[in-house]
Amino acid sequence: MNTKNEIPEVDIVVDEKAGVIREIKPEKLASKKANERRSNTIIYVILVLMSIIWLAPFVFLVFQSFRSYALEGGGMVDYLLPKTWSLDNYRWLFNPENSNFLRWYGNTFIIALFCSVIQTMMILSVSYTLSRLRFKGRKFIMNTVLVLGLFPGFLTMITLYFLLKQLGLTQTGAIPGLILIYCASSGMGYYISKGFFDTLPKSLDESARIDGATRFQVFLKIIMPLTKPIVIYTILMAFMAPWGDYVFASYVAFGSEPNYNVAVGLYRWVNVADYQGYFTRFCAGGVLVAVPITILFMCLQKYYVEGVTGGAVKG
Amino acid sequence: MASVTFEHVKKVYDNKVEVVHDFNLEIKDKEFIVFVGPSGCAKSTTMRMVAGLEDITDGIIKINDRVVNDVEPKDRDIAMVFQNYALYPHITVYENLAFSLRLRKMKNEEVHKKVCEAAEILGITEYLGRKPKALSGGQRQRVAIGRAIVRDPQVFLMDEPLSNLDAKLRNQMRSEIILLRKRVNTTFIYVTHDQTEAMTLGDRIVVMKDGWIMQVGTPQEVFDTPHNLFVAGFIGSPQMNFLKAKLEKEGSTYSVSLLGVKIPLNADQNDALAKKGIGSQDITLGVRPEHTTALFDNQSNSIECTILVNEMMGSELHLHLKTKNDDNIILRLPTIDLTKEQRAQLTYGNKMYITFQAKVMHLFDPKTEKNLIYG
Repeated sequence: MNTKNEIPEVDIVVDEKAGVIREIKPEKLASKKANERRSNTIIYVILVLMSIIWLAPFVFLVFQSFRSYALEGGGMVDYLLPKTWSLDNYRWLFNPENSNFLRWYGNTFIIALFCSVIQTMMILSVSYTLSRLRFKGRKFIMNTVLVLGLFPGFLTMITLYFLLKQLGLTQTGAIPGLILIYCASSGMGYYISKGFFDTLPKSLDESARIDGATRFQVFLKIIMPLTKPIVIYTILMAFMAPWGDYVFASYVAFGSEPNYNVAVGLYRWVNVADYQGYFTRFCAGGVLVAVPITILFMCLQKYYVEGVTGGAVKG
Repeated sequence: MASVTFEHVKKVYDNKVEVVHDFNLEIKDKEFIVFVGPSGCAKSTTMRMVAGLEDITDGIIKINDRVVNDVEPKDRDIAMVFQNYALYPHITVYENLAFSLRLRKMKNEEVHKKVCEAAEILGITEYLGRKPKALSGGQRQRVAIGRAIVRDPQVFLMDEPLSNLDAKLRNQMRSEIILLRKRVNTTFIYVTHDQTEAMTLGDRIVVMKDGWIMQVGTPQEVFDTPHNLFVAGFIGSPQMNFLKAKLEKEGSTYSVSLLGVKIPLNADQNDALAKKGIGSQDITLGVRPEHTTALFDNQSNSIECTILVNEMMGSELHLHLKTKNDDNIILRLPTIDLTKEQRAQLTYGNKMYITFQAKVMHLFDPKTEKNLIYG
């Protein structure tokens, strides 16, 4: 509802319960309006401040990425606005002779794409199973997963590294290795979608099964269309996690530069390579990394919000 | 068209609670059978076992001589109408009706023909393009029924289909189901807690309590010769009056005495009791309100009562009385027969006299709760 409707514009209201027309004194109405305006102002000031603090690093990043490399160099400087604007850094990034940037970008994209497909399938099928089927050990599995989920994933880092190494999935095999790591335990993230599935009445499944659908057809034709927001939310999350991952990617691919993902590659520029020479290029890379995610979010944000809040209330 | 047979069917839930005990029943082809009972009597569970939505713990269920215990719901050739309609909210009424046909890979023209036919029968043709959200409760109910009839199922299951509707609509839909049944002419299993629905719809009624069958019979049989106290109390509205009384045997004749009144039984009752070798004993006497005659003054063999409540129902009055034994009695008085003076007399605390004939009396053993004659 928009706020305009909430503020009574007239000074007479009908009290339906009592069946009488009740008059609101104009001065009372005015003070109510003033109060509301005051509290709104305070809220907006706080929100604007918060968003400035939050946005500042991004703005800085974007500005730096457009600084001319030829005239101002590629290092850190003590001013915010570039003196000369140019696309030097971007041009450099897009030339494969200069760096592996495009390769890294491609690696990350492949990993994220595979993960979003595999993870979504896993998460949704685990959620549907736990929500709809009753089998021995169901509660036990849910509790175990909950407890396991409390441990941070990188606790298993060393073990995982050696396991992957045995399978030849480190360094040159880092891309399939990383896909394996990201997808292996993805079913554990079933909570939100299970919560969403739980809100759909079971009789829908039953009715469809009697109508002649198999469990899979029920899932595909009835449940999926009704839970579109959560499906999109799941895809989005599954894409984003590997897109921005640094921890796992850095050690699985360690030592094999062409197999880095974009986060690791960029970080190594400013950390290991020439810090002063690569800073603005790092910024330009960062901006490019944000582009697909931003587009995805802008297209799907409606569903995303529904998905996050939907499980809690009603589907 | 199919018969449904239950042989020693049991249902035990995971927490070791047995909800259906040794259920035996044979439903004939094209029969309309109603499972009726209070909530928690496992009537829905029993029906869901026929549908395949609940596992059968023990015993077998056959549809047309085929054991279906391990057959998937989709392969049982049944259709079911749910209490909450269970319409698919994301597709139109047309697609709701067509859903099962499309899953069977039926050709488009045939689907269209069948959907239109069903819509015609139920009078929902004009809503075919709408989504279920845009329909009223009664219309949704029709769609739910339509979804079942497009398939020509062997067995038609209905799980309290009318209980979400308001009273007026319920009556209307009830008579529509009777008509529908004539058109569809297949085997029906109908679950309800409403004894009026059970009486008006069923060819036979299965009265259930706590997972046991209490009695199976035609509505008339169940009404006239209830096998036990539960059935006697459950079927009929207002419910049957129960009074503490004594059965007395003198020679070869029996009589019932209560509150100083002695009512001799008729020849049929005498024969039946004698055949069972029943002697004098305490009994619970059951008499239906409509079989109880009200008297405004004391006559021979009448029982004195005090008026508690007088409920005006329009065409009749429901009078709640209390005997000297503290038994509660309800009786029905057609208002058209009452004079003004008589009406004025029907107030709290006033005396009233009742009497009834031997043939309308039901004699129950207070311990086993069984009918001494039919049980």
